[in-house]
Amino acid sequence: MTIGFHEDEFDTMLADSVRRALYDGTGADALDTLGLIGPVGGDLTLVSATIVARESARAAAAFPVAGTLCHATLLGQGDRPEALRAVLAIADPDGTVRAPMDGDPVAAILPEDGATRLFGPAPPPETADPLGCGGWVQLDPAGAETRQIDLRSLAWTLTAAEILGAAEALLDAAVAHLSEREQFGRKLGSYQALRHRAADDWVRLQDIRTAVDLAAVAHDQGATDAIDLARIALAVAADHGPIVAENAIHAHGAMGFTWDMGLHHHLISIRQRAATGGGPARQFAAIGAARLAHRKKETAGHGRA
Amino acid sequence: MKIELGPDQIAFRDRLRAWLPQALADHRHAAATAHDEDAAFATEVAWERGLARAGFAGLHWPEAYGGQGLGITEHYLAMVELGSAMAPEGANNIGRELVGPIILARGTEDQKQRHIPRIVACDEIWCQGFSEPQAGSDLAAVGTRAVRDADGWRLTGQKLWTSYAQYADWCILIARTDPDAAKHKGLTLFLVPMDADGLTCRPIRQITGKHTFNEMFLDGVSVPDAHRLGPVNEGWGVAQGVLAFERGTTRLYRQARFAAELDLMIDRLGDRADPERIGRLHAALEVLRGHNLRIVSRVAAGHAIGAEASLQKVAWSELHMDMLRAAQEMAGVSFYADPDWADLRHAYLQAQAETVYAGSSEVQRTIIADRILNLPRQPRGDRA
Repeated sequence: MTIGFHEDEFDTMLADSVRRALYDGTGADALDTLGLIGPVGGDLTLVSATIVARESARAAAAFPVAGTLCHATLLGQGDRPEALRAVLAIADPDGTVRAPMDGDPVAAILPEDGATRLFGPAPPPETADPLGCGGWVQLDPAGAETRQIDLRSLAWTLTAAEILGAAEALLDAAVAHLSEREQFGRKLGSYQALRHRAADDWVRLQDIRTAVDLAAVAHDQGATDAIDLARIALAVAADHGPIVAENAIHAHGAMGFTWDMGLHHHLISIRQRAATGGGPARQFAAIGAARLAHRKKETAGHGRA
Repeated sequence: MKIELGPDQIAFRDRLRAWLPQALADHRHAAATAHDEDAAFATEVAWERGLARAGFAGLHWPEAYGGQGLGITEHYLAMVELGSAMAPEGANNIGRELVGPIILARGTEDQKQRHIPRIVACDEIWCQGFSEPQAGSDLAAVGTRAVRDADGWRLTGQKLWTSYAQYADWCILIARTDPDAAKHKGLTLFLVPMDADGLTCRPIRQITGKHTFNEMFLDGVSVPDAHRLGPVNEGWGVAQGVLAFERGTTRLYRQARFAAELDLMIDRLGDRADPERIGRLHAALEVLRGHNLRIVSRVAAGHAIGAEASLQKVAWSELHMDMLRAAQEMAGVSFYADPDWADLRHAYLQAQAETVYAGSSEVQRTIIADRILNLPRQPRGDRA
């Protein structure tokens, strides 16, 4: 018996299959041919689902994997991906609920403590603002249906996996650029300032990857701390992912600032996902409050202040 | 992926959990009455000998040499228990973490028989003669010479930052055996008894106020060829292969100990604890726990550990600094003025060394850039 906490052959094969399928076909159809769109918990483990989410985001597949898998899990059934296509909504502290309606989803899902709210589709507004209101729609809470199922651990872990995949794609692009581009008579990647920044970003990605795997394994094993680890995965991804993305664009110089280069699509997707659950500062504060409460309980009656 | 332990592993951990509290209480009682550094060091030696007598040393080393013949998983479980209890890290970490693994991997049968059982029992204290005045991060620049003579080798030069040399029985030492070869090629490892003629030590006091460091002078020290470790001129390769593995697996207890330090911080901070900062530290500790699990899982499955070990070194050493900075910023002046915080004040000063020793953070980032990201190399002479 050993601690099985590294990619096994099945994980590697799954990642390869998803990559090949997304290279050959379009997002939803490609995933459908592999039978990877359905409820998480039965044949599809969360560990496998995070691989699908990560690889789809890496390939910039225009398909909302995290939201759609949550939707399938909520309905308890599989279907054609397009029929299940859903996005994750985000609630503001004041109660306002918004969702990115990009790509005509059939539903928006808001996972909350102990329950999930399900919203119908709404038409996205016309916009030319790439980062701002680009498709964001305010949803009417009165029109939502509430189901008694807690999908937070699923939604947060998968969202973190999507941030991971997109950020990995950006670091790969930055490393390729640093390995080719020459300035001052040397390859950019031979300058220590840039090498060490790239190394830091690789470390950030390993942090996200480990946090995602911890949360996914805990969920699949039914561990009581699965929800805490999911919150950590999302907070770490939301904190580290944008830094990796911004550094990668910076590494490309002026080229990174061009629409044609396309790096901004990943940046925007990472930034918007990082707002899930209120953003990393709120998530870390919630993690810390739980840790403080846990310690208080542990030391109660032991005479320790 | 599935994290699960076998019944034998759970039984092993239960046995350690049953033994630990009384043994630690006895050690802490002895340590509290130690009135100087020498006496304190003696209590740490006694602690390590106690661990060995109870069967909790040399866990994943072969039984033939006094080890327990268990796996890396049991080693990891023990590290977590010892770290969580904030047990002493031990007086002989160079013997345990560096010399033992290199001898087991590349030593002669005689060297294994001679040294491994004594390292397990903590009957032989070791120090490390690697760094020199001109060879710090650039370790391959060592200038200490080893020249063949009729009796074996004659060593001349100076070593620096040699921790515990004043207590050590033996030193693992790297010296230049071929001055004409390329920098990394002409180096050889030796096992040198500290009572050899021509070997002298001088103390160096650190910023913690303690004396762990020494400088060591070798003036024609005679070493028999039987004390050469690994092939002539291949010392660099011998050391690096083992060091990568060790970098990944020896400091596994740090995560658990840091989590225990975070508990201490929380207890002392009371209402001054900022939930967001505590949350960031807790999340980073959980991530580090996951990194450790991944390394252990890979080793248990028979995978080699290479450059990815640099992740462990950067992660634990920089997280510790983050923790101790946060403690001060939240605690304010009480961090410096209250007797309660003395242990973490010491930990903060000690942490200044942690991002330097065993390969500085810059060396680790260079390893990641070179061997994982495959970025273009820096021009020679300009390498971290």
